[in-house]
Amino acid sequence: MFYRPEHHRKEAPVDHPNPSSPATPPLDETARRRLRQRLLCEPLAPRLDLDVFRGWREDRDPSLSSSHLLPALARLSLLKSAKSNDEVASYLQWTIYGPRIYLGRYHSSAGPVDIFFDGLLDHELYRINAPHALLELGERGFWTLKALSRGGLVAVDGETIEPGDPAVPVGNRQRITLGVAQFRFDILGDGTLTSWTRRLEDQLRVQENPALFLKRQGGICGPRYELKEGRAAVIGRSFPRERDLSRPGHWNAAETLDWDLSGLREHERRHIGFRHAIIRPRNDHDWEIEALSLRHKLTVNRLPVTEPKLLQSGDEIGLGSIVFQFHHPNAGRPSSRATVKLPNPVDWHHEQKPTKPPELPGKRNGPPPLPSKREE
Amino acid sequence: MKGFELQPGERVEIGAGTFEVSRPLFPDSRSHAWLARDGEYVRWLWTGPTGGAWTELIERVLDRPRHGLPRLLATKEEGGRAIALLEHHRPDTPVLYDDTWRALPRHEVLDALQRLVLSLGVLHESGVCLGGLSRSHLLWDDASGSFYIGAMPKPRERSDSSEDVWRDIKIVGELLYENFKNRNYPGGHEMASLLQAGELDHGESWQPGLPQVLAGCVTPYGELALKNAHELWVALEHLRVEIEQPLQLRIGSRSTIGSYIFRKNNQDSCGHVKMQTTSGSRQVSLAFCCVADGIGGIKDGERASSLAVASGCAAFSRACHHKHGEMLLDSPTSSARAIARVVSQQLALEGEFDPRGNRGGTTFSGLVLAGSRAGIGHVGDSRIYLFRDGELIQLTRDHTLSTILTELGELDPEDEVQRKAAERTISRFMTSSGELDDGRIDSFTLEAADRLGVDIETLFSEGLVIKSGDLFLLTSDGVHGELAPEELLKQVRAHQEHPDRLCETLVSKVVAQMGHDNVTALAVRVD
Repeated sequence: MFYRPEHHRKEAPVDHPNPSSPATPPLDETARRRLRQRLLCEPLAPRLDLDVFRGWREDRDPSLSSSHLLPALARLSLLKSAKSNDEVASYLQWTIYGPRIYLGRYHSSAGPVDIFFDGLLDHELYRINAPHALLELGERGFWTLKALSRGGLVAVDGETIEPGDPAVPVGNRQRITLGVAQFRFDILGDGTLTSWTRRLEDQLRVQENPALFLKRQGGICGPRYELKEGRAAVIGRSFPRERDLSRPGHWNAAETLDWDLSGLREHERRHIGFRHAIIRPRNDHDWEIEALSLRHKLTVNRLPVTEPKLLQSGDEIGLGSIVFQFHHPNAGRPSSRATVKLPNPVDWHHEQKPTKPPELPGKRNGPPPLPSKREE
Repeated sequence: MKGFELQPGERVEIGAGTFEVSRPLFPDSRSHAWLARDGEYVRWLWTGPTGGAWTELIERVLDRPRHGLPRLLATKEEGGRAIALLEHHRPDTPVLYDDTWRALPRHEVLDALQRLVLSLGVLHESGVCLGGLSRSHLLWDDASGSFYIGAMPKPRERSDSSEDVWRDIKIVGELLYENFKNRNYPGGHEMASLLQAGELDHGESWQPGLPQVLAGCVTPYGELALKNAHELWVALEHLRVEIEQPLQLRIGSRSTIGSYIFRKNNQDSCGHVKMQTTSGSRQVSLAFCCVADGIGGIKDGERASSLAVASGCAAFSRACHHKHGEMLLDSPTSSARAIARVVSQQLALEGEFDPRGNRGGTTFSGLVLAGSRAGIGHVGDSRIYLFRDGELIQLTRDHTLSTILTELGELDPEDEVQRKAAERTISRFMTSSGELDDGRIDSFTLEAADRLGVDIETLFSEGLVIKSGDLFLLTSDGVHGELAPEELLKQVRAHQEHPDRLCETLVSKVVAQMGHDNVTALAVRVD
């Protein structure tokens, strides 16, 4: 009734180590760590109902994860090593949807970046600054790269670019180094802005009222919020009723949100305040924005905003780490104000990282305690 | 079904390759399954009748990867037979010789059979049945403890008749009987009369739930007949609950300011919740333990860590009440991470709406124990250890600058000052100024997975299987930063059966040697 497996093995040995796919060596240590990192980055939400753990419900609008309206212009793919030209995996690719892309990590003192490399390993992220570099598609159809941070390595095909150097051209399939991570730059489509611009204009043309468009990876994508004439709008993300906080009475949770951003992707919503900002009409025609959150940054054209700020069509509004484009249909051509210079980049290399609270001197014969820095 | 055989050495062009048949997959050639290779590629070939119906049926169910079933790569018709090319499962061991199967622990038997039943359920739900599943169609993978369906010579459209279900699942009753009773299955008629005579209701290896399951598998008729695969899965689950003794947990903890010269308050917090639920015949113990080490100004750090522990325990309790703790039991690792995730959101909420006194941050290491599995969610430099078989295994990784610099190869082992500073600098923690995304909430390390001999995907999806004698230890850096690893191991060894005494000893050891930090330890002993 039973078959002895040994008997079979003798009959016809199958010796190939990995017979179900082309011969691949067993996973090396880095690959195993990447696999682990990938598993950790898979959202918990579809498997588990996080609202049960929370005890209150988040209003996650599924349309906030809708796909891009504009054609992709280029792509950065993480490479296996400094020598290899093999990309690691499709989930470690970042597609570029706009002509002006800040690359790097988010830090509240420097404002949003367009591509923050979620999914990289800790030490790779540690060597990426906020912001790290600027990728730009010029009018003549050439991409260029500019280094923005001191102490953060930027190189094209091994040639280092110093901050302050003029932008360096980057061609299709060239290698870009950011810190200790290597990327391949691929130009997608015809490499020009022609169809991109046409699609952008089409999108904006059909928008009859002033609106905010979510910008991902440099280009506007599906999600938008249409402002209602004469009415202010509060932007933030779901929060519970007051009684769910440990010390009720300290805050006023009576307000509701007009645009709930809870449904953004995991790494995007991280720095969005629960009541982040309010947009209100300043007069019959103009709109202004004001920060509501004390803990999360509001920027306009990547500069911090501390008091009500008049908006112009084309302005880039930054809520924490993500960017929206303000569009006003009666304002004619979009302004080009989104090109102002950035505040000084955060240099992670020399910046002091968060640490334990100061202790009395003499401890452990160590260096003087570092000041606590809250943002990661 | 004569004429479908392939001959060893025969070459078949299919898919993008030419495959040479090396041997039948099963000794019984009526299984119509062969092993074949094209250079380095090893594949399976199945044969069946022409006319499209056979091909359509297997295409319908094997078009994508499914547990316990091979994936279909290509089909063709040639020489009066249909041929299918399938991915190869390794190891390709035909089912079980008696000693192996009979020696398997009962819970592993139930695991394997439940998984097989799930695969059958998938087939049946797609409207396909196998027209009888036997040992000559089943492969056994010892490493994963799973069956694979290696042949499907007679698939057909499933009718509403319970006979179709029964033909495919009766093998489950046979295999179950052989393991539980440690003897050959006597055959269907004999089994039916044994059951009727109540022969299985007593005896040495008596198991009250066993006759129920066997009766369902022995005949498609009558009240006990099973209507679908899911009913069999449930019956097996009931049997599992019967044989599993719920593990008993004993928890002890201790936290102190430490040396008053260095510290003005205790910024560490720890907490635990234990629950014992009974639903139906199922008794389950659920527990959550966590340690948090506050960061920030004096008051803020203390508040952040106590808030984290309180909201972590609250989140766990909510999950316990929801569907009898189903989420915790199904995925303890994801649950532990979800708790950490929700805690970090709570800190962000308090930080935004109640900023006074809420400007701190905290580390957070939480352990979920659900039924027979454990999961962890971890941020910062507190630690979770498992003491098993005399070894102390660190399950978490410290999120410190030192870990990152080591990775970058920039930490000079000679430079004591740099090393100490890097160790004290935390690279990831929870803060009241923003919430962590899922990807930043850590869990088991690869090193721990290797030492435990479990692969990381299993640890993440199903958690760590705990056993009697395990001891989990959660510590703040006031413990593991002050005590040498050998000292820690020595104390754990000495007090492994007494979690309370262990924590007390660890804390007093640190205080005695004038540790500079708050000291917190929490231990869970599994009995």
